[in-house]
Amino acid sequence: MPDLAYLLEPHRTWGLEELVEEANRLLPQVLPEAGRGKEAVSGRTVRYYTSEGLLDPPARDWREARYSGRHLLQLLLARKLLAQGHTLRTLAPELRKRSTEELLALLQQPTQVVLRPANPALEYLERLAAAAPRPRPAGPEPFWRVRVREGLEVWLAEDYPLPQSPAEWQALLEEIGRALQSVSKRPGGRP
Amino acid sequence: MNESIPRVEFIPLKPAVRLEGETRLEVLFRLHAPERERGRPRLNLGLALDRSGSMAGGKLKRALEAAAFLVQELGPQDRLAIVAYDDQIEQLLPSSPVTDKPALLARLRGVHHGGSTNLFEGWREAAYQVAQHLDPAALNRVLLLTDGLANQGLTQPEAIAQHVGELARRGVSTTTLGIGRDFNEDLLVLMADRGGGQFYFVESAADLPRIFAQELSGLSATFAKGVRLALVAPGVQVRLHNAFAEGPQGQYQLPDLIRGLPLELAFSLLLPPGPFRGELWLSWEDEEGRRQELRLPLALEAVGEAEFQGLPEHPEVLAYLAKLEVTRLRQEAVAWLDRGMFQEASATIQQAAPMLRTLAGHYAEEVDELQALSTLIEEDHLTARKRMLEQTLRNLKGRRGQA
Repeated sequence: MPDLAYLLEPHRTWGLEELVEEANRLLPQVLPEAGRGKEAVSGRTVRYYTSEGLLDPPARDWREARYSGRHLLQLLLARKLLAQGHTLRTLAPELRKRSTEELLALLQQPTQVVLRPANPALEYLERLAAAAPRPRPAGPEPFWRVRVREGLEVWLAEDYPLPQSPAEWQALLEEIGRALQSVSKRPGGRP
Repeated sequence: MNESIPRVEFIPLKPAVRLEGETRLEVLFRLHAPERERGRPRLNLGLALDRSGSMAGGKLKRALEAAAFLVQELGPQDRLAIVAYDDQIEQLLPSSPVTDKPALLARLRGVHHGGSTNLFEGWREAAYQVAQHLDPAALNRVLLLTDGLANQGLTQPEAIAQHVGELARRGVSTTTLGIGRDFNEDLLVLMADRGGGQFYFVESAADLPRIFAQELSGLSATFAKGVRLALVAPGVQVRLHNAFAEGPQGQYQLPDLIRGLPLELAFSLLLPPGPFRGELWLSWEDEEGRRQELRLPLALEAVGEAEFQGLPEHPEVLAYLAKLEVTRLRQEAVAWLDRGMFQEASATIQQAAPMLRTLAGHYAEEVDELQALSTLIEEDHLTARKRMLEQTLRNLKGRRGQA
């Protein structure tokens, strides 16, 4: 296996047809066991893999898609792993998640590449975390100030979730009651 | 006897069906995990501990003792993560093999009570810790302990439960433990139901170590997870009495199969005239995470009307039907409580009285529970409601209480 690191030199970018040509030139080295030409890729293959999420979306130079060394590594590795019996579904998150260095290392491994099986639980939680950001860090926050009566105000965070049921209201009011009682009990706080 | 497949008992209310005319027949299935212990499966647990202000004092102390108990019981083959949550999430212990026990116990001593309750974030962090080490051959579970309401972050029970359910389908189940009288039992029951775990009502913090031990022994004795069951009976109308989610092809998703703890479920069948031939299909993931399958032929012969009338009814099926009926009464009593009608709730539970004798020989714990409830409802309806929901979920999931 030749060192493919040169593919990552920043000046190396390809249009779709050039990418296909370069990939087909390299494939016999990546997949020596496959029959010659048998594993060749086409422009259609590249577009299909991109739509299935195996390849990062290409950059756009005016109207033409431009591919980098990372795209080429993803394409070659996808070919190699599919030939080893992996499926498109399990490969998609693996190829796009990995760093370019990892892709290069996987591609140049002489032995069969072993991918950990997809972890559906972790994927779900990561999607969840992306959709709903974690609680905000400390810092200035907008608050509502509600005047209940003369001398009594309640301040609540702008997005404070109000109770949803009578039981939750009851619990909140009791909690407020307890908090207020602690004021009257504090020595020197109130008469 | 084969030691790697479950044993299934098929008990029809009557041992035959009508030769002429339709038969309505209740049938009970009891699934037993094989007896032989092959060493317990690896556990991959994430404990989410509520340390909000209301946990101050005894409750937090007991919860930490229970966590210490977990540390003591687990071994180097298991993983444990501990997350403490109030409005902030603190990772006390990232998921790690349980090797250096003294160091883990020392971390637990550093937990102090804090602010309000972001229950969902606590669950999510514990789930994340478990999911990072998802192991198909292990039991991957979150244990969420709280004494309060979700009042920070995501708080809608249905929204929380949906995420819990989605995660359970992806291999991480959830058990919930509610301490004291102020937690939201509807939320915790829903989470445990969708999460494929248990719900425990911890009436006194002193019960925590015992309940953790119970959960742990259930986990340790798990024989099969991802259990699915279908009753194949062409021409027969089938209705399940229990509350199991139904898959697209009429397969029910059952709780884990635990050694020494049979799973009971009952169907109501409306059979066409003549002998009945059917099949019970059971599928599960074994201890190594491989899917297994079992098909059992079911048959009932047909007899004439006079003979059918004279056939005895099986006492175990009668007892199970009574158990389902008293479970329904509990649900009805909860509905009365929710309208503030305590006497009606109490009267509903008292309707169970004539069934106690049928239950006594088979489900003695039901008799004890119902007798306790009939007075508790008027004395302390908050506690009664939590107990009734705990018992209802357990019964509808085919389990039984501790006698």
